[in-house]
Amino acid sequence: MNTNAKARMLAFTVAQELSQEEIDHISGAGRAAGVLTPVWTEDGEETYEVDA
Amino acid sequence: MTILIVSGNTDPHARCVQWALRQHGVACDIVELTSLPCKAQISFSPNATLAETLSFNPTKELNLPGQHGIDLSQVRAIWMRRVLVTAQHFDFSDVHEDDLLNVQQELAAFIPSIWYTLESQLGQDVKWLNGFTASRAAQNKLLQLHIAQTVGFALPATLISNTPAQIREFCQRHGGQIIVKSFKPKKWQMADGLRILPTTLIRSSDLQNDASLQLCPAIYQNYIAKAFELRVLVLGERLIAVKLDSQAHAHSQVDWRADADHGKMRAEPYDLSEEIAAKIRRFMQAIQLEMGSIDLIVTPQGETVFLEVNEQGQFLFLEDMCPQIPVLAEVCSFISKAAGIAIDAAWPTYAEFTQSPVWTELVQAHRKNRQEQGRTPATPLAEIADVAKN
Repeated sequence: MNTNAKARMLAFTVAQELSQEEIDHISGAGRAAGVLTPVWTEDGEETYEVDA
Repeated sequence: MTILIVSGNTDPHARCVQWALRQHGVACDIVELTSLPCKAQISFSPNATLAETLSFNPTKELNLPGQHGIDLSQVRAIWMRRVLVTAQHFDFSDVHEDDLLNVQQELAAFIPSIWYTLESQLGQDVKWLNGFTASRAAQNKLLQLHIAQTVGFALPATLISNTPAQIREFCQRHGGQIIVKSFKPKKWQMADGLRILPTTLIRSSDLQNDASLQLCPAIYQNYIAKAFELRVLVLGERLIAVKLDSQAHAHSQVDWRADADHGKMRAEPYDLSEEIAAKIRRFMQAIQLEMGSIDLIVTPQGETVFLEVNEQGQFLFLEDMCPQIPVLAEVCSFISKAAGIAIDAAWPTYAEFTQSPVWTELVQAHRKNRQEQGRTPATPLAEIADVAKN
């Protein structure tokens, strides 16, 4: 199955793209501000919860 | 233990409040469910005595107070800060990949069962902040809008749809630009970064692909011009309103959360009118929440428009941005009173927390994780600490 041929949901097409530098900045502040909260997945990767 | 906090791993809000409560000798534990199942053990026995119903044992590597049962007969208040019930939140590091889905399903069924059962079992003997059943319902944005309307709030015109023609018509009717937002926070991990969906302004030209629109229903609302925005932290009858000057800079005009660097968007205490305060209290009563963070728009014409409530919204940033608002003290006072504890002495401040060993531990955990991944160890957390100190 060629998944690349499938359309992407609107939310993805208009989503805001963040570089790693921007993520680092926002996630740091986000711990208090509630933008991105770092969490760690089962394999040790850091990912982010978008919060409010 | 008198107060139980249910939260996720390294949640600074939970750690901060626990630290502050303990400054005044209030017994308070955190159950960090994200360490399940590989780094913690949990047992629940609904027909045992209250002292033996629930136990939670994190492993030593988590550096938490470990190996303890939770004597529910001693608990007077439960702050449901983060009730993480989706599979992605747990620690599955040692689970065989072929078992993963089944383990995830079992945990996702088990954890809510605990809170539904305890809510029924403990009844009025414990103050829930918020009640589990009510909090689940209150996360429904459509229910929020409906209740807000019944108590007299103005609302944005709203369409939830995956019908392309209707979405385009809605957009045209509202001047060719509307906002889109999702029911749940959205993120996409990309090879070189991340995509997130804050509340986003879109135009007719964004709505041309039928397949893209039909793939997933989304929340569309008319874009409301703002004079400024309000974040109202509701703690029982107490309302703490903060004015956010979101319109002064382009990046925070549509979604003020984009202003994460604390310095461009100004925040200041705000006096709510009696009318708005009464609406907020009626709303909270109708939706059965004890606490929550309400987002409002004030238009250039002075009308107050309801956006949403986050039943466990972030609040420390308000004190971080505006130190004269003692948010941490208000939260500690609220939670301790809910547990039947009266504290006369002053509560610590958020700035004091950022100089505590608990804060240092959070920063170090963050640094360590970064270093293990070979990423830049310079942590924004330390920068925030510096901001708070200054």
